[in-house]
Amino acid sequence: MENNSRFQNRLITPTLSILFAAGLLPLNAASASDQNSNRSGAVDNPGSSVDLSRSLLARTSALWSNPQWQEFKRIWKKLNNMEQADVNHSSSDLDYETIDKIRTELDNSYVELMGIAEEIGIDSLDIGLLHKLATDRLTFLSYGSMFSLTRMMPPPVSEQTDYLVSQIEARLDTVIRLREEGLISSGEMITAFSNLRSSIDTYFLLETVSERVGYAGVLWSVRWPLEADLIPPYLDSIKTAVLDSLENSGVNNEEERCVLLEDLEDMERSISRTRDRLPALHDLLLDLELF
Amino acid sequence: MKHPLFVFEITPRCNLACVYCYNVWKAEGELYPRELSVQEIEILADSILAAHPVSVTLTGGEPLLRQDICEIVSVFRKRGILVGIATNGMLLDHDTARSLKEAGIAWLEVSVPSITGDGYRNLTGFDGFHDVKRALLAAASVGIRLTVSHIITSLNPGDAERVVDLAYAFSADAVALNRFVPGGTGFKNRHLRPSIEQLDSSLKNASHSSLMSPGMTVYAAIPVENCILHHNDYPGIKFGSCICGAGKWAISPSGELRVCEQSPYVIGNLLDKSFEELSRSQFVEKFRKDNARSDCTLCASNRVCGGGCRFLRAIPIR
Repeated sequence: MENNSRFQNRLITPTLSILFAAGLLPLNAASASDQNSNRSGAVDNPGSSVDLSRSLLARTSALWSNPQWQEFKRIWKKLNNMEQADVNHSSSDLDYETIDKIRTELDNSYVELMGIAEEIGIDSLDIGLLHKLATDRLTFLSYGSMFSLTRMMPPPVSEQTDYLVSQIEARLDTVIRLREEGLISSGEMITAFSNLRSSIDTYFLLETVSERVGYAGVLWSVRWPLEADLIPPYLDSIKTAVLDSLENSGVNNEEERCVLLEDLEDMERSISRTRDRLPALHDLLLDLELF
Repeated sequence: MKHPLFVFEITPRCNLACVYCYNVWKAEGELYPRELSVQEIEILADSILAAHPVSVTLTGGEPLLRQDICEIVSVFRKRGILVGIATNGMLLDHDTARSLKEAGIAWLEVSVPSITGDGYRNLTGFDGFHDVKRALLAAASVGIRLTVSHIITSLNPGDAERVVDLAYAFSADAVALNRFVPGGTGFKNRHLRPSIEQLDSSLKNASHSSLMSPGMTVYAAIPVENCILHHNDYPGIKFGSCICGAGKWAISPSGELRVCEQSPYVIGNLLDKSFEELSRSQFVEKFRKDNARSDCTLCASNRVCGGGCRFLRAIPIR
């Protein structure tokens, strides 16, 4: 225990200086994620739990000495070090064995993290979404953008999340490369990572949608806005249109109406829950990238 | 008549001294125009609204030097007109970006003429490279759509690809690649015009960076003649043709309509006459017809480049 706190203290000093320099950690008590979510470009945080008001350091410092989180971070960094051959590539320099090995590592890490989620104060949803993002990154780095040439056509939202992963991957690579080349400072790098959150927020929300849309149903064919703020009102407009259309069809099918309504409300709740978790996810991502 | 785009130079004042500046009032013997008050801009905005515009870009000079910039943005927004701002970024910090977003601007265009501190100073006269990077990060952090503009000159032909990289790392949505066109201060500095070889290598390298930057558009903002530099050689770059005096118009600080930011010729003042009347003047017709080379009208590429930039014809290609 004592060793752990000494270890954390050693880390905190340089980390604090970077965060202060980047303006991510103000001298007053306001949290970095509060600041981030107050910026008008970020998704508003509709929920306000005590957990979410804790600072980035308070939220992530407990993870620094946690072996399961460090293992996940190690795999994440491995993905950072993998090179894209080309954004449109359809083959990979990686052999199948290597790809499978990393995928297995990721899956094991996911299981391990889920086992201690409560203990280390990470929501299981956060772990699920980060694992999905890491897996999608691996798929993109291994095979490039996927094309929907299958008999079971995936919904457009799945293409949209693939597209976002390619952007996130390429932007992460570019930030890291420009920092290595000295074109941007460490403070600028932190802000640049932080600014990537709009794409990442959109990815997390669309991933939440994608998981519930499946290969059939009323939302199967929907192409969603690629801006996080626009997704909830878009779903709202779909809900109105679907229910109006059902009512105007003249068919009085109360059972169908109830099922549809339940599906749509379940989607609303899921999106809302993911939105609540975005500040915590921003902090976890910054921790993955910076420390 | 197409729905027009307007570029409104809201002030002739600037806090940089760029050697390539095309502002017409910076040409020898020209006088600085006066700038309009917010009340006068209200009248101008009515005139613009009657033209059913696509959008208005506020520029200068340096538009953020106007203390009443948010008020000016509101003048257009309350009429339902889309507004963007083109700035050098020196005054753009996080708070300003947030104020501009709240005032309703739809996009920011920030110019990054060089990718090094020395290069930036040589081209603009000031040490502003760190400030411009801060501006890019500020724009992206508040979620304003961001275009980075870059001018290719004979002094910075290697910078274009790095500007594309920087823009991508900083979450920009687009990069506008300009090339030096002599006008204003730039008319005295015609040596800044890049050679064909420099332009070719800049575009090739920028195109490669663009292809590695999914989700960001890189386009050539000054038309490039397809017969001189074949557009297909730069697959990462989108090209267009000249729309000056047809789809795009410049408005000087005092409300005078011109066919292009490069053109000093004043067609008339939008405070006195309607856009419809002014845009049908003989000068405009002549500009559109006579300023294209006659052989361009017979060329198959005319459709994609429109014969290139009329103002570049003043100087023979090196």
